[in-house]
Amino acid sequence: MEHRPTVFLVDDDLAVRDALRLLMESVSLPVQAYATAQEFLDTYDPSLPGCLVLDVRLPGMSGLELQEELNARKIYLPVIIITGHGDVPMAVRAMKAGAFDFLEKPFNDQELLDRIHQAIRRDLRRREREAQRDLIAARVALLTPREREVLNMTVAGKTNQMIAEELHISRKTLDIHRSKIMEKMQAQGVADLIRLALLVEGADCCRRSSA
Amino acid sequence: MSGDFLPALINAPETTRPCPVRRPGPEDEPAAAERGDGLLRPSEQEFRLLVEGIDCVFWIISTDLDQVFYISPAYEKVWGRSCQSLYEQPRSWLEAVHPDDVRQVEEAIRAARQQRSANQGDLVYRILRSDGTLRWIRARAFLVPGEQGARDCFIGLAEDITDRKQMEEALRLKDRALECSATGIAFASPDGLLTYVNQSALRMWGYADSREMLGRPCAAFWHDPAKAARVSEQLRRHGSWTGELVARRKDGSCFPVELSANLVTDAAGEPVCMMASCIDVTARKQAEERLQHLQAQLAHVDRLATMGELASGLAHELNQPLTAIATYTRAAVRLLRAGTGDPGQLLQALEQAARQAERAGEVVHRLRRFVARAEPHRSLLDLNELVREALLLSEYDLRDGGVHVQLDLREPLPPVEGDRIQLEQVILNLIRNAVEAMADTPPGQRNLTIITGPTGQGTVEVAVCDAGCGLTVEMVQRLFQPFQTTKPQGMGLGLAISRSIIQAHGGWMWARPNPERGATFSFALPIAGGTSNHGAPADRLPR
Repeated sequence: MEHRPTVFLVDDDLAVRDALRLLMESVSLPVQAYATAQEFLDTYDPSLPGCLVLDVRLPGMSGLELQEELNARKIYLPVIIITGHGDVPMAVRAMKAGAFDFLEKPFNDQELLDRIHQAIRRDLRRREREAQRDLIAARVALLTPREREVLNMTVAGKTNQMIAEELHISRKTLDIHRSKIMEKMQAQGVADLIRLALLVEGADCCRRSSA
Repeated sequence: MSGDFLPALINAPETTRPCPVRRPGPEDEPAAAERGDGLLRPSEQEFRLLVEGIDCVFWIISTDLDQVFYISPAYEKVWGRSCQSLYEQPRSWLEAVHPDDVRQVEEAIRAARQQRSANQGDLVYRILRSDGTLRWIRARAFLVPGEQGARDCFIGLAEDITDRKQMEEALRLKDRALECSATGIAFASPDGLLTYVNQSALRMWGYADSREMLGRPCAAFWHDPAKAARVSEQLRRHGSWTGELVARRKDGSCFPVELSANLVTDAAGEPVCMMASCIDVTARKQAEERLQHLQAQLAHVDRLATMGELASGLAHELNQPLTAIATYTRAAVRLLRAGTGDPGQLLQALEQAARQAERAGEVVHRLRRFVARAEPHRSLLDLNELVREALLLSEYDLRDGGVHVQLDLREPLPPVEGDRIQLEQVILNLIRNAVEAMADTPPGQRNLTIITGPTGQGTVEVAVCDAGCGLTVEMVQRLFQPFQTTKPQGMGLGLAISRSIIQAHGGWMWARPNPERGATFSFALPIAGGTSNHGAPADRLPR
């Protein structure tokens, strides 16, 4: 792992910020603390894994506004909202905006740490999925237009005969395309090929081939 | 009056026309001499000079009223009819008598005739002149028996007393007005002894008869005779005095009086008497007290309402230190359990936790002081201190609203006298009003400026300037009326109550739009112990 998952903390109250930092340190979690939402936005590197513990009421940009800004920037860091002011409309808004959880101050430390660990795990899984998808997308990029057509029709469940007839090619030529595809995609068989293709489906190969 | 004189006199109209008034001159003498009345002539002349020179009407008339022997020229002036008309119609004078008085006049004449003597006293009656004016007449007559076959006659005087009557009437009216006035009125001699009290004054002081009061020194009727003496002294020296005094009733009970007294002088400027008018202000005082009580209650209600609105903010204020305490101590426990924490780190965590506990305690303390149902209590106050305290209470609102506060507080500020809680509430209301007004102002421009300073006119001013939506002329007019609000949650009482609190402290409050953006709400209060022109001291005794 290149970077240890970090807890990013935004709270304008110095004491709360300091206490939370100590709590993270007591369980050996790396922590970065900020007093304002802007400060965090200005310094955060989206490639860093972890989660964001965010106070709702902040001077300047509020917690909910930061959440919206992160969504707009396609930063999917899990957000745990902490608030001393847990009214229902605010909780609904936070959850709709994709918050991982919503905790009311003062909270139980174990509960917060549990949620932080869960959030970090989810972030790591997401990043892993994305890394894999990027890898497969890179393999798909190696295919020729014809090979992509063949792959798409295979994923769509068409038989070899149907594909050969539709593309007006011989079975032999089809076999050559197929073996090239298997090689480039590093697939262990047709079933594996379809699994890999489906991982990036929607994101890349199908749309690009129909364009 | 001799018997010789009378017939000559009675016959006079047959030879001379007495009207219009004519002064007997030398040309009369030959005529009189021809009649051989030389003895009487000087007397008649003197008589004519007398009766025709006075304003009274002199007349001689037969007792049956059928013949006028003589009527003096004044008749024309008083009755408005010619003397000639009376000679021709001897009863015509009676026609002029006011219908209501005719009976009385005829009765008097009949009585005099029957008794063959003069009527007993003056007869007062009214006549209506042909020009419509009314005249008051006082008449006196004597019956003169006719001698040597001559007829009995009345001889008399009639005087026009209309002016005197009117004056008397006006005086009587004034007298009645004084007596019946709802204001207690009293006169005293220059040396301070009571000479007159009207009904109201009697009633106010609880006496049944004015004789119980008259002749006694004025000072005896006041709660503090020394103070009353000072008022009298002031009155003698400056001619007038106005103010409030506590009066003492007959039964010893006291009541507040608004007294306005002045010295009455004669034409030479010498004091003739002292006059005082008194109004019992018990009811007004009670109403004022009730109003003050009500206002205090209202202020408390406003405070509770504010409290409710501030509650969520204060809960947050409490949550912050509580969260910090819980987290510090939990972290410390974890470090201890794991055996990984160094003592310095643990010590710092615990110290921080303790400090946060104190912070929470301060919030609770502030909260309790804020809701305390304290009776209005006046003390010397530093408005700067109240501004800072109100800002602490509004801290959450200000932070939540993204408001930047700027202070321009003059130090040291002269103290004002007032109720700490109420005045703090006013400042709090103004701050909250400013924050709410700036809800739609772009975040970077939400500036709140609070300025304090002496005005140079015996007052201290506090101004709260916002950069909010401002004020229209219409809004300024209705701003301080109750239930005027643009806020969905508010009752619209805050500003109305604030203003009534400031007024109860002898000050005033106003608002105006700022030249660039927003509005400024200000109030001014008299400096404690100062000589403000605007205060309303109840007692204006000289110092």
